[in-house]
Amino acid sequence: MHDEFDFDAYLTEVTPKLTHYCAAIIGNADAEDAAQEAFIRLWQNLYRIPNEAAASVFLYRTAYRLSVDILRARKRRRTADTEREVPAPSPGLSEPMVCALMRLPPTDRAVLYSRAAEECGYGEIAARFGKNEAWARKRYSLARKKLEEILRKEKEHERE
Amino acid sequence: MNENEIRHAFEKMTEAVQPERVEKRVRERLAAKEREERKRVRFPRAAVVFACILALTAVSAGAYGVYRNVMVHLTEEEGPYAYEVLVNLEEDRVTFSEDVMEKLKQYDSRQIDMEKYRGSYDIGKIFDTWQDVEEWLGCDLLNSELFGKVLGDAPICLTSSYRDEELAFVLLMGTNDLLGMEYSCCNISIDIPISAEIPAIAYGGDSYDVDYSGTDEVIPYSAESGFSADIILTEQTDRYKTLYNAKVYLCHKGIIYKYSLYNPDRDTAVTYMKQILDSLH
Repeated sequence: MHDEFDFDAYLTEVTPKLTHYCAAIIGNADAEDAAQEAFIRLWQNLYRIPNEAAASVFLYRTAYRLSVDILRARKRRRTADTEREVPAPSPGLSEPMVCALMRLPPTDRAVLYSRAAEECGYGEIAARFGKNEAWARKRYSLARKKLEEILRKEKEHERE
Repeated sequence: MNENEIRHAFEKMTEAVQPERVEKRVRERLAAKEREERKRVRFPRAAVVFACILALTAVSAGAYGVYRNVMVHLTEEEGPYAYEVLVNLEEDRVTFSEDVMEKLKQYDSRQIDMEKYRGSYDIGKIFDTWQDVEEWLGCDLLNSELFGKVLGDAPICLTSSYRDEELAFVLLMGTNDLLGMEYSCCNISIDIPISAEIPAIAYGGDSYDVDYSGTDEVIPYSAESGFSADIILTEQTDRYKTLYNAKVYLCHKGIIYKYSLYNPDRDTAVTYMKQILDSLH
């Protein structure tokens, strides 16, 4: 990494964004651990990361993978009566959209969060996943469709 | 449904996290790591790989408790050279002679003072976990798009190998029966060339020049994960049974990843290999 890169300042600036990103993927309980570990991995790899843009890609990609690993570990531990990937929403988080988001696969949540909450461009989202812009556009569109479908089914279910 | 609604929902979902706690913990861990870092030497990747090759060659040769000459042909120019290595399997410790340590020093462009570590290398400690492998070799195993998902808690086994003049020495690490696929044996290994530049020269960046000679069938496959690779299928028959070997080679960031899978059924071997490729991310 170039000498001018200030890791301390970067940590302060990016920690809130990354922690929220992890929380959007795995829920609040483990998000802090995932974000923390991602920063440690970034620090360990700084010597071969050329610039801040590459650092950001590395950080988000690592955070995503760590989050997915946590989900996977959680799935292994999951008992028969807890079928959700993400913990149940705490009181006050029971609105339909929140519940629907929690039922999406982690990649869809990550893509939706990056686009809708962080207002990332498709190029940036694609870089985080090591894919191209077309993939990001398609994935975002599919994620929205899935979300709409879940909401629609929920509504039908309520009517019944 | 618009993006504002989605954003609002995400805000609700994530509002309970405390980023300031993350920042505090990261700073604490980094401070501890820096203290630890000051205490130990970090050899560059090439030196560590070289040391491992020496150590592993000595161990596999059955050297025990005595100085033994380990023949190493490091580069074409240098020619074969005998290094003295003392192996103590009971203590899981390898001790290098003066000339080996001199060689290691040559690799270390930063000229770190290695005097207090002179002559000993605890191979057990270096490779306790994949995380250790990743850190010591400076490669990208656990975060790798190719290995990250399938590696898990797989056991580590190490061997050293001489490939050819272009690759010089490589270190192989592999694991067996990783995926628990029925009647299958799956071996995953990686080649880490001593020079990170070598694959780029030899294979033109991330593409791996596969030798198809002796293969029965080549099946191009574009995985759901986005990776495209040729599945190389070979039928192997001995006196008792026929096995199908499905192989895939991928080169990524200067490291060559190899997946090799055996199954008595041709279609199952291909299907399992496709599953592996699909699972990569």
